[in-house]
Amino acid sequence: MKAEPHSAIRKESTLEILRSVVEGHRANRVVVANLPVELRAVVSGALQGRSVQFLEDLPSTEVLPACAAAEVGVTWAEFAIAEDGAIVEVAHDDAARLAASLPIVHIVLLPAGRLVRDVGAAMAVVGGILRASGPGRRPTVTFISGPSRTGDIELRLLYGVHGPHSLHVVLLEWFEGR
Amino acid sequence: MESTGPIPSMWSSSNGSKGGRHLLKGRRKLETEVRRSIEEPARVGKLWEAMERGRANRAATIEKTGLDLPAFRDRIRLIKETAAQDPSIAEAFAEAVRANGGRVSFAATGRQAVQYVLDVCRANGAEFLVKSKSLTSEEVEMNQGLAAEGIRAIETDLGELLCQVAGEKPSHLVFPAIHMTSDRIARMLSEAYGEPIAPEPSSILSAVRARLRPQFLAAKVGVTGANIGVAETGSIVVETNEGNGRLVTSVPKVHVALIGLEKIVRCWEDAADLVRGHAISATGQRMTVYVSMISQRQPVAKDPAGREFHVIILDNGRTRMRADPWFRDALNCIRCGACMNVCPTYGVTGGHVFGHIYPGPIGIPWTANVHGLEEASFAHLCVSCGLCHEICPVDIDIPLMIAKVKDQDVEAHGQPTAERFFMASEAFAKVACLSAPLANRLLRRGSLRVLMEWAVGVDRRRTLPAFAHRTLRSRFRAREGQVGRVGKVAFFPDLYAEYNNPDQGLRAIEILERLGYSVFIPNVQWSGMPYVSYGRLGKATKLAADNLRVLGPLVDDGYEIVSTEPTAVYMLRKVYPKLLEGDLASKVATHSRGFFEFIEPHLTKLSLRPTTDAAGLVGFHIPCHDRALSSGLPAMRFLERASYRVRPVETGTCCGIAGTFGMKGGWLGYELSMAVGEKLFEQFRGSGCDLIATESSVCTLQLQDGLGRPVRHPLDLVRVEGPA
Repeated sequence: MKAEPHSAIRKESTLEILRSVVEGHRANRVVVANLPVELRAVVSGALQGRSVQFLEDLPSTEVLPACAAAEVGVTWAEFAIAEDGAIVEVAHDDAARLAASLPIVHIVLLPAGRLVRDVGAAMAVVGGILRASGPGRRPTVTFISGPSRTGDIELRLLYGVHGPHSLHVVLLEWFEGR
Repeated sequence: MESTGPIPSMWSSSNGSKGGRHLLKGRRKLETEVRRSIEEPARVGKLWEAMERGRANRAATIEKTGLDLPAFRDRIRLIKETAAQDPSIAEAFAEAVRANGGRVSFAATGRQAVQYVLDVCRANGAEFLVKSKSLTSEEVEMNQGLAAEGIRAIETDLGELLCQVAGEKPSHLVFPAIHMTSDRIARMLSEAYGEPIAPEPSSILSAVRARLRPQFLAAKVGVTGANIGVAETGSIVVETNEGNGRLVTSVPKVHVALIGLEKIVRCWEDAADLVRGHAISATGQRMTVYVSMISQRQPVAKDPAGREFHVIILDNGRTRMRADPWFRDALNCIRCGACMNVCPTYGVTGGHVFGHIYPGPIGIPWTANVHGLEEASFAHLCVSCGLCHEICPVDIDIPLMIAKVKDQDVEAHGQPTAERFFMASEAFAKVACLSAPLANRLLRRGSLRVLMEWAVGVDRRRTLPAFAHRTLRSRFRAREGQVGRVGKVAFFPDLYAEYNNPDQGLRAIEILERLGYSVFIPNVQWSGMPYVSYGRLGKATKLAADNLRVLGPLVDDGYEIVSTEPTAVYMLRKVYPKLLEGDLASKVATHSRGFFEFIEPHLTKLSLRPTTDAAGLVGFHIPCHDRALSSGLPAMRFLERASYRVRPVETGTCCGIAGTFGMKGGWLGYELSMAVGEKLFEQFRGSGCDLIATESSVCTLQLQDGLGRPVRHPLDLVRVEGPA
């Protein structure tokens, strides 16, 4: 199981995708972090009847238990790397990385048009971001090109040893990003 | 296979006065270990398969991404060397980390690095810490150091965790637990975790995930290595596939990163090439699943309380290595493990035998420099095939560094008689030719071979080539030479064409003359590969200087140097210029060619026909040393022009004989050589080829001994006529 791409043409289809992914994994507890505020309503709307926690609203001590208990983490990516099929997470707060790495399912949203060609171009962008943010205000940036995987047992490819077993990438055609 | 124990006289040392036998105990221990890994293949597990897959994936990704490998090599090398030549870069990196709010410690030794981690744990009241994979932390034996002070380090990378539970060292840089089967892993974890775990990988995975999760959540300190340090923004790059690195750097309040001094580069543009290089060379991925670029500690839900970032910059011998012209190249290593994926004897013995803490070819110079020469006796498993240099994404001359480690080891601990015997091959060959055919009859006799095995350590089971009564030079002098108008060739015979098979040498010379070359055999000695293989670099350098003194003026006079022996061309082109820097060696290197490469542009002038009745399928073996030159392609095309069908039959690594390595007696010679060769013999047996051909004289012996079939030189298979 590799990263699964979904294309969301409109806001409504985004709701549909989120609902069906969460239902498909029979998940009840969802944590959300690092999402543009405009999208919060979309996520809560899609997942009515389930526990949805926006981590930035929680006291810091409750973030870790919430992520540990959740089956799904929903986060945001700034852009994607076309040739490598990777998304780029830019985190000024580790709640984003916890939400993306502790639950068994990771759903990441990003604007469909924000693409760079390859890892070289991506790292040039990262260099620009880090230089521009200045000392002490630099985000943690991560390229993610699939779910957690290992080949350590007899070279057999297995997913989800630590982090997510499944990665869903939702490309938003209707949303430009923040 | 008949088993011969260590033969006492073989182990006599050249430094008899220093106390002889016990000095070689490093090698004797190695011999016992080699024997165990050959007799009990389970110790090595799926290593060979992992290596094959590693090479195949790497090649496929390079092909798919259209990577210009030589240009890429040059770029990575430039990045690493620029960084290495700038001592202020580590200081700039440290400044930038501090400016981001992190703390930096320079550790001169491994002990200091461990002490720092210990202090951090104590300051945070941590009784244990979680770790993601860090080879550098293994170099400093961090886990053991912490355990001695009551702090438990929990490895979270699956392979590392399995090694930790088993109490074993990693056996491969990228696949640390490749030597373990899933049955064994399940048994081991069932016992360690006190619950039954089924031997399916998925059950093992679930058990490990469930076991580690509470440890992650409770950890106060997380320790990682760093694949790259970026000075301009004070950042580190951590590349993982499992995602454990993400958890180790996000859940605990405190993150400590240990980075080797040599991993720091100037800027993000430099880091980009390295990120690409790591993944492609290590696993054939375009990039690892997670590439984390960390510059500082982030708050959690806006709360920064207690969140700390520490960076330990480790020297541990690196500054010394940087100043050492022999070993500075090792600092360019990007730890991708490609060299171990191609190493023939590593593949048979595994990283526990072929390694101390750092395994594989590049592990030899690293071990000798950071852990000491005493731990580096596994250097003698290197057969000098040179393939690690060919595959290295940074073009590190690993074989030459290994030769230097062997040299130091021989100085300190003496040299087995067999190696001294083979380094005297040319003198022996001269005497044998003078006394041929008597010498040949004796060399075929069991009793003399038993004596030779006892006295000089040449394995009695190895077929040795017969000696010719008249050498190539004496026959060449006796014949009528041709004066050519096309050009002048100095033919470099090396041992085999000179003393064993002058017919072959003459056939090559005759073809050169047909093509219009004046041919001359210069007064050179042999090429001297065993001096490099057996770590006598002083002698190798002297021989190189002697030969270059003869060849240099010939090149100035318009001669091209041509040899039928791939190893000789390899020495002239690749090794002499390293032993003797300067114009002379590089000039001679530029004008030295393998025979088939040299004649290829002129082949249309000749008519080539098979010497056999039917030109069948030729299984072609590419000698390792030719992989650095022309990969056997001109010789294969030569055979194809004579209407043979030709197919390279290969395992992707060495046939195992590696010059004279496989002629030495016992487990550190013949046995290991045949164990390596067996993989190739299987390929040949299944290849359906009618004929077997190779260019190298020693590979011929190995294939004949292993397959019991004749192995021919391409020149023996083709009748050359013309110019038409």
